[in-house]
Amino acid sequence: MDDTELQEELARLHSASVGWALWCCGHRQDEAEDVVQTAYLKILDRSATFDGRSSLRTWLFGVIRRTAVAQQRRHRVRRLLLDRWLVTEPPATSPADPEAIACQSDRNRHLLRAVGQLATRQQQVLHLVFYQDLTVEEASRVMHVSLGTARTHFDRGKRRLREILAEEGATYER
Amino acid sequence: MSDEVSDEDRDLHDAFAAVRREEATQVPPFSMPSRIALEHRRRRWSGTLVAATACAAALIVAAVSLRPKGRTTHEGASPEPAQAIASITTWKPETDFLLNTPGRELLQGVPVIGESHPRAHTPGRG
Repeated sequence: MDDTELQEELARLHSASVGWALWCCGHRQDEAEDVVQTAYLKILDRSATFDGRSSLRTWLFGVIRRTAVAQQRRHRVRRLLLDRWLVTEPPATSPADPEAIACQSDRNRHLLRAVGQLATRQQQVLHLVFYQDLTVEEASRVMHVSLGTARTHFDRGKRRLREILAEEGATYER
Repeated sequence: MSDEVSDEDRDLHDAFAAVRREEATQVPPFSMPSRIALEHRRRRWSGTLVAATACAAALIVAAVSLRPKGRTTHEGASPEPAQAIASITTWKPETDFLLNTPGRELLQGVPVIGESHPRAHTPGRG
């Protein structure tokens, strides 16, 4: 696949890529855009190359996930260093950024808040299957875990998400 | 919808799809990173590589120059231990004369009957 074809494919998948990056970065828009741009840079300078073993989308999502993990690690180290040297830094935001979620409509906000209470792996597999329409097998490749592990996260995540939604629904009715 | 999403999961699928539709309106337009950004990234990596190599070289030089010199092999051993052994074997204590007691020669061999010994000189006698 030459550069032009690759860029066309990336453009076609751009919206899905940003959506996945948003979920990998706890819905922090700026971080997600940085992650996507860094992932594109990796692809452009060939430090991440598509070998055709999976679909392009699965591979691209894997690159984005690894980039997000590396970026979050860097941010964590920077925050630690800044805290040590008493430089003023805004407090670390929680995985699900409330400010970003506030921009969503009520129903979506409700879902995002509930998903934010799940374990990271559960959030990721639910996103990949329900939001990105991947199979659990494809999701396991993106997440770099075995199929069995992905299935376990998927089943537990669904069950827990329904419980949380039911609990919150009961609370609202009172 | 993926084949693995069953009908009982349709509610979750629809809920996520609503989020996707809403988030799709906020997606920034697609743009590949510029060549400038790519060059910057390459320079940053090469700079990091140079810095890492320089640090490793400095560590090796420091380790070699600060290596303790006390332990050496037999071939390269300094002559100091041999000299010390020689000086110990030839050393005479200053109070050695105190061991020259009167009649000491009597005790240096088995006495023989009929052989006379010169009278030992004892201090304080005649």
